[in-house]
Amino acid sequence: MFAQAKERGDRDLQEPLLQQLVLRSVPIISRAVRDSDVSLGPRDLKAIEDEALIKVLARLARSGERADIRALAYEIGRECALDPDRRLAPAPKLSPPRPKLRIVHG
Amino acid sequence: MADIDAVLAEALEDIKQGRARTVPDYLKLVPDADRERLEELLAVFHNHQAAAEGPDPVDPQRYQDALELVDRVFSEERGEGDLPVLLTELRRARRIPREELLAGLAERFGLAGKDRKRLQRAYHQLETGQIEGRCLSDRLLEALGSLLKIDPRDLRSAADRSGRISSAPAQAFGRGLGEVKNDEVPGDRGSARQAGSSQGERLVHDLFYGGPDG
Repeated sequence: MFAQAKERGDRDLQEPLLQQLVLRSVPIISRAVRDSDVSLGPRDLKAIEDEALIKVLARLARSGERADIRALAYEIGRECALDPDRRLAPAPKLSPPRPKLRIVHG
Repeated sequence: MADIDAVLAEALEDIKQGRARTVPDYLKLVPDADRERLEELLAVFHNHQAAAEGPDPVDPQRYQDALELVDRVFSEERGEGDLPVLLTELRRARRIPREELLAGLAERFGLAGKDRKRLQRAYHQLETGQIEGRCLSDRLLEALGSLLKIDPRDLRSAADRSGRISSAPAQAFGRGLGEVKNDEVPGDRGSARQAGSSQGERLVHDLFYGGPDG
């Protein structure tokens, strides 16, 4: 159905079909990232999952039903998690406590 | 070229050991005729892995994020087309500032000085949906794919869906390329200018307005 909608350039039909496929990929990407055993903070894990989701969407929009969504989501989620060039979120800055000063009128 | 069984065994061992290699890395190792088969076999394995323990329970917000992403990429209202949104979203997720991506493109195509500025302006036009997808060259999409780690065929497909130019005249911020009129393909105007242009100017023109073979 997706392939037909794509062929006709019917974006109104393509969008809900893509939504369904992308929603199915969400828990699989999460599983693939967890299986990859990367110890990262929640912000970095979310960035990995975001990137994987974007790539899955781009692939689905190209190949549609021909892609096996479960295999595709797992493969891309794993690749994103293990990417050695991934940039991590900067560590929060630790600032020294502000000194408690008071004015002494002499 | 290696034997398909040997490459498959190597891939499965890599996956088991958590080594970072992508499916295209393995496909390059086998003859063209075996690539589709190897891709299918790897997909079967990934499918099996995904199914082995079932999906993870996921924060419901992730589903909402996913729907919003589809909405942004497919939004007709913004009129920018799919590729500009895809590039922006990928840069954000990979934490790559636009300047850094431009530095990568400039290095790859050997552009410096004024030509680098031209590249900057053209890329700005690309990310703001002012360039029709069909005008983009394959080598530009390959370079972007390599820098953003995405299959260039997916970028080409998104570019092909970016054929719309918004109804309002597009503004170019900066000097040189000016305003892009709706009934004007920038490439045509560029071609007319090519006679007196520098090599770098021609290169930027070919990359962004020269079409797939540019």
